[in-house]
Amino acid sequence: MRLTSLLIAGAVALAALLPGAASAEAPALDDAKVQTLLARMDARRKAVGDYTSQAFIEQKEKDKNDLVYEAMIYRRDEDERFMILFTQPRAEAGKGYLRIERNLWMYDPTTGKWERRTERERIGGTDSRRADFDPIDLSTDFKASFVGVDTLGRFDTWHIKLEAKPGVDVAYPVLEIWVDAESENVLKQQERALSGRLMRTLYFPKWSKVFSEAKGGDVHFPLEIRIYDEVEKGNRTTIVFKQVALKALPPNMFTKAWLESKSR
Amino acid sequence: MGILLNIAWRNLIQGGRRTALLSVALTLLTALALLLGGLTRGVEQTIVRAASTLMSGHVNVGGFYRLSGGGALPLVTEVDQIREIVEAEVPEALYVIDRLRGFGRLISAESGFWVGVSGVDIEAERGLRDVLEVATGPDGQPRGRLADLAKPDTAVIFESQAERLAVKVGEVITLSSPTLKGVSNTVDLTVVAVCRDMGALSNFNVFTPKASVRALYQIKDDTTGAIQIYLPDADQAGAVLTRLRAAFEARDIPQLEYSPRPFFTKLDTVSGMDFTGQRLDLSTWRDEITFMMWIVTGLETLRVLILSVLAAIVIVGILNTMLMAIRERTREVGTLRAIGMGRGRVLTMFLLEACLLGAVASGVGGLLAWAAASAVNAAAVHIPVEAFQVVLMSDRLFFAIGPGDVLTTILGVTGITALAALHPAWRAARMRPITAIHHIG
Repeated sequence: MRLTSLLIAGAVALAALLPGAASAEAPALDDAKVQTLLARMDARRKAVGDYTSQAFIEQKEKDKNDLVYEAMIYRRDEDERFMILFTQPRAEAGKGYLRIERNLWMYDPTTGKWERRTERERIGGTDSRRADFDPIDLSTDFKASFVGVDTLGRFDTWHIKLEAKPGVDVAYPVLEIWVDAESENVLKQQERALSGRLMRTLYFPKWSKVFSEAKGGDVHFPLEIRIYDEVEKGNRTTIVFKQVALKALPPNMFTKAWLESKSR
Repeated sequence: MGILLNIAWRNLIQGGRRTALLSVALTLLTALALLLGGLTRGVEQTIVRAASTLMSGHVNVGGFYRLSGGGALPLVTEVDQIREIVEAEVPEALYVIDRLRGFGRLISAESGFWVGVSGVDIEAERGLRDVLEVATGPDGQPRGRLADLAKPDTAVIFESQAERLAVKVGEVITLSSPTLKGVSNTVDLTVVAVCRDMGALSNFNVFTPKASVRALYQIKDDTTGAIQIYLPDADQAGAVLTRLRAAFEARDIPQLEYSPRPFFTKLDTVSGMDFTGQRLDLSTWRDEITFMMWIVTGLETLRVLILSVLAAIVIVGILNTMLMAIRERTREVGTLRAIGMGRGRVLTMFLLEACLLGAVASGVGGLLAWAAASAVNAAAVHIPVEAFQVVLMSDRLFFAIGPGDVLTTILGVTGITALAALHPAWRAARMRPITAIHHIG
């Protein structure tokens, strides 16, 4: 299983290094079509109602022991509420992040204190960010431009460059995404610093969908995200999502009191 | 008194092995006391000299800028105006500089770690140029030039950092940090010099030109991290700080309440405060290095503990040896008393014997310690173990022993010896001549 996963990641990564190796069949997009595509992608990922999933985060760092975390992810996209509650390992159990009214808070059960964090916070000290668990609005937060049609392995993709609009709170001001022309899922994402330096490359090898009654349609989500640190080569983080459910959560759930009660 | 000294000296000579053993013990005690004290003072001097140039001025005019509803940033805005006031109020200052402060991840192809970043103007940094010592390579050539830090996008790092990053002079490293608005940013820096390690300070300091730090954090030209003032006498820092606080208050420039802590420990406190805009925060070099003074306190405690135990052992040894000596010399004491020597003179005779022993042995110990320390300092003995380098704040062994320290220690050890001999001497003085003469032992 592990070897298979590595081979898939390797194949995707190799394909990414050789853009345009195969003939591009997807049609080119103009600015209007790019904007429509992004809006459609945003809508597909939005749950409207509530969202729950289990996440496994594996952090590999050069010359360090591998770390594996298990956490529960809760979202209420309607009012942009979001929560992560770590459940494993024992030392991290009870730690949590809560986003309410566009503020991200972190709770540390060992001190019993809440600390306000930025949207760019490295979640649990790994190379993952809040945006990896709770999709950002590509169509509203970024100015998009079409780069070209590329091929990633057997996938025809649209290569789109996104630049953060002024005042938007993002960790990386420039993104490049490769969108599968057939499924309209992002397969690869590159994130650049203000200096233009490539910081992270993300691969989304598997996508899935669940029907949402509240939305009256499918909610699309990646089953796995592989994050490669492009500055400190050799560091990588893998996030695997399981047991995605869209059932309604208790109304009082996205509160500090609820998270604290689960941390005890 | 001359006769008593003569008797005391002859008795010591006659003591033979007993006197020799006590002398060795006292010599070692003196030498150890001096070397441990010299090491502690050496570390303290190194910390103060290094920290007050690498991390702080003698007086610092720092500040925090608080955004509405957001966190606080360690910045001083309108730096020219603040600097003008500082220069007018502290005319005795040797020089005044300003530095940008930051915290970022230093990355090479091999590894990366978090460091404190200082944005400096190397031409204005007289103290820094004196303290930083460019390391030499295996070929004996210096590893770069400090003056090259004046070039854009350059860095001066320490030997241990260069080793961890596996970089040489001329190679490029990346400094990565979020801007003040939280957006990821990087600057590529060319290593222009590798300096000798300075203990723990080497682990978390890197120097770059101001422009590189401004580019990394997107800081305007009229903003800095802190204005650092260097005085002819570092002990005047407290008085200068008080004077500057009064000057800023008179000009209605808002300040935080004085808090004797390093600036980075105040970030959380200031973030929770209810103000927006700029507040100045003044500190002295002592405030900025409080977190490092545990090393000096720890060494001092260890020194006192070791010396107390050794001194107790030596005191018991002297007490026992003197009691035995007096028992052996009971008939001699009786004879002296019988021919007219008073009790006071008997007491003085034995005390003089102890003092003479203490003075000679501790004198030898003092000279030996001073010679050993001078030799070690001159040889610049390298400390091979990194843990010791961190604690001793240097990669070289350094003892700070002055003539005053030698004299004080000799007097102290002589005093201890005399104190230990007081009880046996008093017992000898109390003997009745008739009983003492007939003593068989």
